Amino acid sequence: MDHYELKQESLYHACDPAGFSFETTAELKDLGQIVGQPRAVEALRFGMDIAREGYNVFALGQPGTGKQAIVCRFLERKAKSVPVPAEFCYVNNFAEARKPRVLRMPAGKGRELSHDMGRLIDDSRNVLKAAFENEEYQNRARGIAQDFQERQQHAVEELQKKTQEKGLALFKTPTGLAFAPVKEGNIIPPEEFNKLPEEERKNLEAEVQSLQEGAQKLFQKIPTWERELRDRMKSLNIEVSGLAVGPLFQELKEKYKELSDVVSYLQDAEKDMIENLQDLLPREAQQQTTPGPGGPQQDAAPMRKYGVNVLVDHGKSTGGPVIYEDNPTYQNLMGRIEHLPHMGTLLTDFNMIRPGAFHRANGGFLVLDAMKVLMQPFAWEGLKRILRAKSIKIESLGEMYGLISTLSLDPEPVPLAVKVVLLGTPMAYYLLQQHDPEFNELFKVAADFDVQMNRTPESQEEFGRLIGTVARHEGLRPLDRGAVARIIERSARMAGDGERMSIHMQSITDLLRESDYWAGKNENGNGRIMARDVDRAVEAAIYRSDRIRERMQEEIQRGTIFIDTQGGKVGQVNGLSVIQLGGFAFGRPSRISARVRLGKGEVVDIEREVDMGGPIHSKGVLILSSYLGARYATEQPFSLSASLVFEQSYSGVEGDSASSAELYALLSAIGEIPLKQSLAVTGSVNQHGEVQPIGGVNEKIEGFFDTCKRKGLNGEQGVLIPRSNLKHLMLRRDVIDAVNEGKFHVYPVETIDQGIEILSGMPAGEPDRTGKYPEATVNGRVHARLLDLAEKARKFSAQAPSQGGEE
Amino acid sequence: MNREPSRIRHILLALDQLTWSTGALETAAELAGRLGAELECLFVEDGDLIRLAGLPFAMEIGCFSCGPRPLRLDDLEMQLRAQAAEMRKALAAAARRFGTEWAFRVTRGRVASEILAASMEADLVILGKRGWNLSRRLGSTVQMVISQRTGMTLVLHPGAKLNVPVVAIYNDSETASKVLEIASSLVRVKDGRLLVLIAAQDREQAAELEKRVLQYLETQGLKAGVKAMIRPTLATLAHAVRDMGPVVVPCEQGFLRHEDLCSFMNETENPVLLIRRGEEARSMSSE
Repeated sequence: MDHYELKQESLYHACDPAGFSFETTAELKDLGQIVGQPRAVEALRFGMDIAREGYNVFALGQPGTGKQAIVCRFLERKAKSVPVPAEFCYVNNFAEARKPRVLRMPAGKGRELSHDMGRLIDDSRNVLKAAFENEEYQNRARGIAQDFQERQQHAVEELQKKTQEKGLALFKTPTGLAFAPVKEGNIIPPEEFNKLPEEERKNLEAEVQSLQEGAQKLFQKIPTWERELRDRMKSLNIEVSGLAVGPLFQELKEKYKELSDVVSYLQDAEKDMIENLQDLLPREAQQQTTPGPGGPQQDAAPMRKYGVNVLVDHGKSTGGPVIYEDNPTYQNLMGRIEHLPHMGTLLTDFNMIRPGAFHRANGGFLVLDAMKVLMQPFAWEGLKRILRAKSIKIESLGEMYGLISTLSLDPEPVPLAVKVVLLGTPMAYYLLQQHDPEFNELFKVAADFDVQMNRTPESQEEFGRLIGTVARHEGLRPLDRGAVARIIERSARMAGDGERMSIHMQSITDLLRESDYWAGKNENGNGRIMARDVDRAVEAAIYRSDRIRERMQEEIQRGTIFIDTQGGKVGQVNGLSVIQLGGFAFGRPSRISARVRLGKGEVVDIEREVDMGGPIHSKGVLILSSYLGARYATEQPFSLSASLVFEQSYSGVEGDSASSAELYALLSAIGEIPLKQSLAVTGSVNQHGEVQPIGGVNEKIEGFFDTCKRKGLNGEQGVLIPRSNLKHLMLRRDVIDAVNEGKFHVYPVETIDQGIEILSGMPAGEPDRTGKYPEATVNGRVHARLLDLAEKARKFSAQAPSQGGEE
Repeated sequence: MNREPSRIRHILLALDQLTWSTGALETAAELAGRLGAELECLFVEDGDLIRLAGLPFAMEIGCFSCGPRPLRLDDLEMQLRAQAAEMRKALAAAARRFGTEWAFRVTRGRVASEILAASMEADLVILGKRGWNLSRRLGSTVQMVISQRTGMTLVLHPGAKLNVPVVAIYNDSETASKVLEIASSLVRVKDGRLLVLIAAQDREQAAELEKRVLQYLETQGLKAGVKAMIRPTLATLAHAVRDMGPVVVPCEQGFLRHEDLCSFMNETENPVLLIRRGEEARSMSSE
């Protein structure tokens, strides 16, 4: 009954620093390729290459795997081969100002046009000022005004002449004209007028009335003359301003002749400028240019309407844009229209259209965090709408939902060609896939990021380069090969697998930073991070997190939590569980006890009865019933009732990793065989009695080791683990040392029989041809007890009717 | 020429229902404020109009309505009172802005006579230029006042301000030196530039006059543009002062007779300050 016990080399999958091709990471170049994510990279490559609708990418992976960095790095590399996208500019729509036009321009041309228009405005001001101050214009304008005044003057003088001829005088009243008879230059006083002969009075009155009619006609003509004056002035102004600014516009039209939209815009701008030149002229010039174009200045900044709002300048771009929007609010994604408060109102124009992430990423790639998008009101719906429409339409949320009714803009949509990469957890991906039908149409490619990679000499070397690259980018000291080996070992421990490495980049980077910190404290570090710095960083991190573990171990030591580490007990075994507190996991032993009695073949899981057992745990217990019945009660009724419990468990129990321990406790209780309390057990079991692998094997072993160490190592103590977990072993140094010294033992087992032999010190026992087990074996005693119980049950059943009849 | 001129202490702004404008009030208030002079505003209710309104058939044709309506005395008086009240309010506001001491008075009678009577004590009289806005010609009232008044008279186009540069028309008359003095004072008041237009009979005279001007400017520490004109016509003079500020004109029998002066003023939009021979030169400076 010799049992295989693990030796030092099996307990820890060490990384041999001698296997590296470098002394320190300073010798290594930055890692070009992406490590450990071939599936995700392939998905990204496919998603970015396929030019079909809906082939956007959802990069799913656990937080901290470095998805964002990897995706951005991949896209930045990819973007170099993408042509620099066109620029989009908003310009005024001279026909309908509230619907700004979009101009599509080759990269760099937008800024150039904006600059050109700015210069044209300056030049226009100057040439217009010069043109309207010019003697020629002034004379022509004066001529027109003079003509009007002379017509007016002539009409007035005619009226005055007629008035004088008729012995009357013309007077201006505060609101009009009046006529009166005069005598020697003075108005005839009323009393004198009344003394005149009636005929003379009537004649005078008739004359006055006749003149009044003449004045009336004159006044009626004046508005027509004034309109004529305005029309003639306008024609003159259009002619002069057209001559002044025409060459300036012509120059630009020639320059941008390849861009028909721009030429069309320039034509509209020219027409508008000529028609509204009073906005262009400085006030001073307007005042001086009498009776020139002048007029009240309606807009504080009239030149704004000739501006060019370049949404995104690609003048210095060398490829497609890669944009990561950290705060994907609706407006940050779609763009916004800003308003300027002015005299109690909110004003806006096309110059105040601000680009969103979609504008900036147009022609390239946009990276967004899915959860952030989902948490921002309207952002997810807006994102889908834009991807479906393949154009960016800026809409104010307030207007969209009728919350604000101020006059705003309705800019022409910008055509969109962008690949979107959403970053998120697998949970987010599967939930979206399940609940949002549009999601599958728009994000057809899943880039699934792994958290682990295989450990091979090649991959360890590559990992070393990755570490070196991160250290360099983080400004950390280079790592010597020992430290790299230790980091790899630690990453294997994080992966919970000696043959794999965690590529949870956040944890790896944190470990590097903390190792660098301790290297800084190390006076003999030679400016490098060494293995002991990594060890110290790991120990310090554990120490900062392990208060709860310490308390639990203390309570076990003090006898508050019942755990025996020596002697033998019937129906009692030390199980092992893992507690995860944030980023720190640790193991702890739990006493599992079993009691049996005559019954109907059921194993009661007390945890489940009180709803403290999870479904996986319950499943494990049901498997035990099946195992017991199939192995020991094939020929007789399984007349047993057993109960199982995790002692001193005050919260839920989940997982089936204790099912083998529970089975050992049951077998012990049925066969009344004491089990060694110096051992603890982990592993799940199937219906055939095979011990299956479990998670957290390292933490569990270390948990029981810590308990034994506190209570005193006596050389008997140890842990039974599934053999299939051997590859996962990455134990702590002190555990390995204790095993080396024979103070602690790790037993890999494949079957329940192997385990029960170690625990009981008794052979398990094989059945003979008749199916009977030898008596002095565990199975023999279990079988015998079950036969005995079945017999008792049969007898009890036979007696039951007569007992009932007596009553 | 270098004697210390006496100060302008009393300015009369004379207006009636035809010639008043906010611009004239502003200009007068600013000038008086800068000079530290008292501003008296006289609003004359035209006696002829009052009389006209008493006639049984009196009608007026509205400027904008173009229709005839009876002209009643009470309506007319009410309108004149309203104009006076508005003028008073505008004057008060302008005077407050420029810190000007002011008085406002309403009188009734023949406008020219009332102004001439009131201007006896005034160092400077400011008049509105036009009779009414349908005519570009100088109103009869203004013509009468400038023909009879002996002191300084400033005639303003409605809305015109005393912008710089100041233009002085300099000739060989006795008044010319006063013109130069007043123009210089006005330049100082407005912190502006001065343009001297020399009106000469020939080149020799022009050279002589320019020399005198330059000497004067040197003594005053002033810089000015000087432009000589040989036998300038009214048209050339009007052209020369176009787009300039106020024009200070010597009123001499041999230079600009009354009719020429009126024509000149009809031709230009500039404020015109008339300087007459024999009057005491008064300074536009505030000290």
